[in-house]
Amino acid sequence: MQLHTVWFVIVAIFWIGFFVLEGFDFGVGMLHTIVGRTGTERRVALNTIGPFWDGNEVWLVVAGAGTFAAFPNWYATMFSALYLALLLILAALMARGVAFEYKGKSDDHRWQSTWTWCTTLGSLLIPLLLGIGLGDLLVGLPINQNHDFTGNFFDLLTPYGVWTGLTLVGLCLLHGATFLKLKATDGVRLRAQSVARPLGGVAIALVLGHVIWTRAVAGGADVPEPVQILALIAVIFAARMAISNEYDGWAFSASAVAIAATIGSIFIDLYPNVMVSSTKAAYNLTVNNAASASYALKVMTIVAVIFFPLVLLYQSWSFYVFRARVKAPATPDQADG
Amino acid sequence: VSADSPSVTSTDIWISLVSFVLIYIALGAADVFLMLRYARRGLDHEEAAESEVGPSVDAAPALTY
Repeated sequence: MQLHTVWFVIVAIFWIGFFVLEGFDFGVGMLHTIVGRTGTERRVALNTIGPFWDGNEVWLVVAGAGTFAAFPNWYATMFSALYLALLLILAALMARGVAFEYKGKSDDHRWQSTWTWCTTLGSLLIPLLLGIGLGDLLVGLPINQNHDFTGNFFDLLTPYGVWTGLTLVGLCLLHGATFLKLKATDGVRLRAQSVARPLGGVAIALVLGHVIWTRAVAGGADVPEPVQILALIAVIFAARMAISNEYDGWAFSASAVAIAATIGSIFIDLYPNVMVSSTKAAYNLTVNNAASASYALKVMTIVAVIFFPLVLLYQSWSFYVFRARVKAPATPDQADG
Repeated sequence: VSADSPSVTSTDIWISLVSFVLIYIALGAADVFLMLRYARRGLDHEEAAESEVGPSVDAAPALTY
């Protein structure tokens, strides 16, 4: 396997890791007002992701940075084409991140509801927009022979891209529900279990549609790839386990696999392209014509081999440290509301 | 000029620049609001709460977020 293929796989792994990890905190962000009736319950829901969400976000940063370093041409075309979409994503990331930190700092009603909306909407917008962007890579955008994007913002809203975005939102919701079932207690846990019933059905329908549409877009074999069948089985399994009284760990693992397989299938169908041109297939960006020089790739591979396991180690450690279920304190906080 | 992105228009640049200025002004205002609020409140409140309740080993920890 050539180094640029290795780096394509690494970038794909960063995206998969991002959605498996940040996926559940997007889900919790979208669901926290539904699973939490009182202010304290909502805080319990948010505190299940409190120690993790910012670490999870780092995976998005390295997915972008890895693309920049290993495939400068891909980065240039993708980030220019998605310019305004990425602006929206950044604004949502900022609003959502600040919302976690600020919300509990004042019990003013308007203050609290502003940050609640930032959390909910931000958690919805980010997976939706990123999903549209990832879908666009595969379905193709107007790109000319100089690898310049020739469309406008609305050209980004391809039907397949929008479906990919919705599928990711649906999977994040289910993943968030299985995470809450695993990490929360009492009313929050029970409500996560009951919203999992409709969410599971919706997620199965979205993934099924995505599998069929991806086959139509990617062409080639009419039979779904093994990874797509895995995504379908995992989402059905997750939906089933999520409504049960037990199997919290199995439900969460299954929704994680469903997200991983869905993102993975996009990158598998994309290879050896990294960005498809809807103008002309000859203008496609590929792992060959978009990659850095082999010396740069060699240095980066050595760095990645050393540091990637370290990052995995300390991130796993933080999940281990905060492994306990979150419960409401005996006396409600004064910033309750 | 030769290093810019041909597909990113100057309108796009203006939209993003103005957006970030507005976002940072809003977040800065929220920050000043919080700092004034906590500065005015003083320390008495915190100390009283601590001595009344006291740390207990069994109780669930306070919610951070």
